[in-house]
Amino acid sequence: MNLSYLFAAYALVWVAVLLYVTSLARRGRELEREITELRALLAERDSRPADTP
Amino acid sequence: MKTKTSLTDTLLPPVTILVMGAAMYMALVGAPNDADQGPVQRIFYVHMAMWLATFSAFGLVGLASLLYLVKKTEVWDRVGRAGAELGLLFCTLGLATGSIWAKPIWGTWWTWDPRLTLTLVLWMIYAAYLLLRNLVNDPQQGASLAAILGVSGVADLYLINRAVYWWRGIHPAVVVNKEGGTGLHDPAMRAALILSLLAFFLLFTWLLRLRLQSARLQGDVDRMRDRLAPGY
Repeated sequence: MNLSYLFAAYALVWVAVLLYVTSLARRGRELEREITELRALLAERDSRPADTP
Repeated sequence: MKTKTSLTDTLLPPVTILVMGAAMYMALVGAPNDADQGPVQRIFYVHMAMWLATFSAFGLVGLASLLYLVKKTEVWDRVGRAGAELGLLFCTLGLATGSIWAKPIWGTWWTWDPRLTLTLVLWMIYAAYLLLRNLVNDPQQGASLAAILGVSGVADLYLINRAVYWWRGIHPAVVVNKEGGTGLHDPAMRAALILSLLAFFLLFTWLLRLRLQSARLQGDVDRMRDRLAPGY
């Protein structure tokens, strides 16, 4: 019946797609966190007087 | 413009999931078994869908690369890079599902058939497209070299499409109807194929939008880092 080949093909596609979506979501979360941190750093720098090192 | 974009972002995931559910049902349950190959022929529905997504992705890379070479604007480089990443994913899956299907039908996991060989070359072209950026120090030079590869890869797409007609190989052309009970003679088989192609095209579009969102965020991070430099 070769059902194991059929199962393997569909399982492979879905595992790969799910892994890719997971990695995209993780990358998105990391970037958003980094943007928040950078915004805070920029705001802190801009609020300092010009001659402060 | 903003409302239209957010509406697409809202509707695309549920529509994709619904169509994908219907496609999987038709491919695994609704369509009848092939007269010659039996149930293993059902791999065809997902295998073909991988190639539609691959061709869409690499076609987009070709177009974006051409526009980047002409206009030198960052947005086209971003589109090209996102398309190449997705194209490589679907191309890998197309090769893998084809190989899994080949084993019970051809008796081998791989053969140097013209279409298969050209497809492996395609995979290498776009893997090089992504790797080049890490190998070249100047990002703009890396993007330009990658764009040249992105455009030249389109020629390989055309060769892959023509390979089964120009050269004698083991890989068949798609048989839509053939006397004697083989081919996609059954309307349910055709429906399974159309639904599967549509579902994976929607999935490709959804993933592309997510990948472009991520690329935009990366651009924001890079700009903010530049503003903080050299202290950051």
